[in-house]
Amino acid sequence: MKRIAEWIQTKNPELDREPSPTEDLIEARLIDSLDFLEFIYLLEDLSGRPIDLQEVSVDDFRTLERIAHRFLRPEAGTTS
Amino acid sequence: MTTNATIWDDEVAIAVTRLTAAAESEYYNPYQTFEWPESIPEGALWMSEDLVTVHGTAAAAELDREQYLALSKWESINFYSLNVHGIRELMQEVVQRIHTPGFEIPTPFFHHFLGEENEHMWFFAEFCLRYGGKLFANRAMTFPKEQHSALLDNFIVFSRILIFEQIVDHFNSRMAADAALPETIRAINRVHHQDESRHIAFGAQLVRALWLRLRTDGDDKEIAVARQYVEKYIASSLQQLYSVDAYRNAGIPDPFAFRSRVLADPSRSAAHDAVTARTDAFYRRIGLFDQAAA
Ligand SMILES: [Fe+2]
Ligand SMILES: [Fe+2]
Repeated sequence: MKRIAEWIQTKNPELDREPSPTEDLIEARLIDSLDFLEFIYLLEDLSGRPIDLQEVSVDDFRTLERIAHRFLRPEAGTTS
Repeated sequence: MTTNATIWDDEVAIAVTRLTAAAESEYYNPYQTFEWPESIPEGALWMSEDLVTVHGTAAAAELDREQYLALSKWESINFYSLNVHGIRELMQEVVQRIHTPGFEIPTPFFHHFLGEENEHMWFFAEFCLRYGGKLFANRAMTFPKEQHSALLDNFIVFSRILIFEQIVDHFNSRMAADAALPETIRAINRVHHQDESRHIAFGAQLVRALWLRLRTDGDDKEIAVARQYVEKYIASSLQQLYSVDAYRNAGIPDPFAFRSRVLADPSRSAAHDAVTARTDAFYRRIGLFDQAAA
């Protein structure tokens, strides 16, 4: 979670604080489609599991809380 | 609000007429154009050496010959897969505009663009499926659209198409001419390059005309968004060439760390400049990029 928050801050230097767990990252344009590949790679690297984009939606990336729940729980499979 | 009809100046109209005639006379049946041998010869290089992402990097020394050749194979599968996914997405944008008000002038060429891109998608996918056994998955996600004026939206869409085609064409023209590659690989790159020279000439005209209008009618914020978008789209296109799937398929341990090392290698910035040279020159010429920032 910390790595993800850090990554978001690196991509958005004008943001002078950590994004909150429930903040809408898509709405606030803190993650955009042109950074998405790098973001997916970061999540796959952290979780050790591939992410099948056919099985997820933009909403799965909306908040840090949702991202952690969806992709970073030790027991979370890609199809959970 | 000005209509698109007045955006397309004489230069656009003349290019559309010329390119439409060229597309008609150079039309071919792609389904009968290629040989498709049983396999790509064992031990072959699949991608020109200077186009492989490890070219010039310290990380290249970590690979033995077998891994290196495998990487050239999987990076080529990545490249053609990116083409397939990129074409699907960009065709949708053109489909939404063809024969709609404001696009009367470019529409005749849109027909050729769509027809030819459909065929390109076919032969790139065919190559991947025959010789790689798969396409790499699409790693792009459609995000909710930002609210832009139609003018800015069109500038962005046609810039995406143009930049994508120019970068792909850098690879195609290099590989078509590379005698170190098997003929099957040279042929698909050669055929694609021939069609793309028309698409790129067309796209450059549309983007030039859209930018002229945006510069006079757009506000400062829109102009800043346009510039930022183009810069970011170029950077993101380069990033896609570094595929974790390719590194993994080539048998490289810890592909994520490998990718970061390769991307951070100081030698890559000259390689990136070579890939984007034509795009940078184009956007400098029309005045979107700083003339001095050569
Ligand atoms: Fe194409
Ligand atoms: Fe094209």
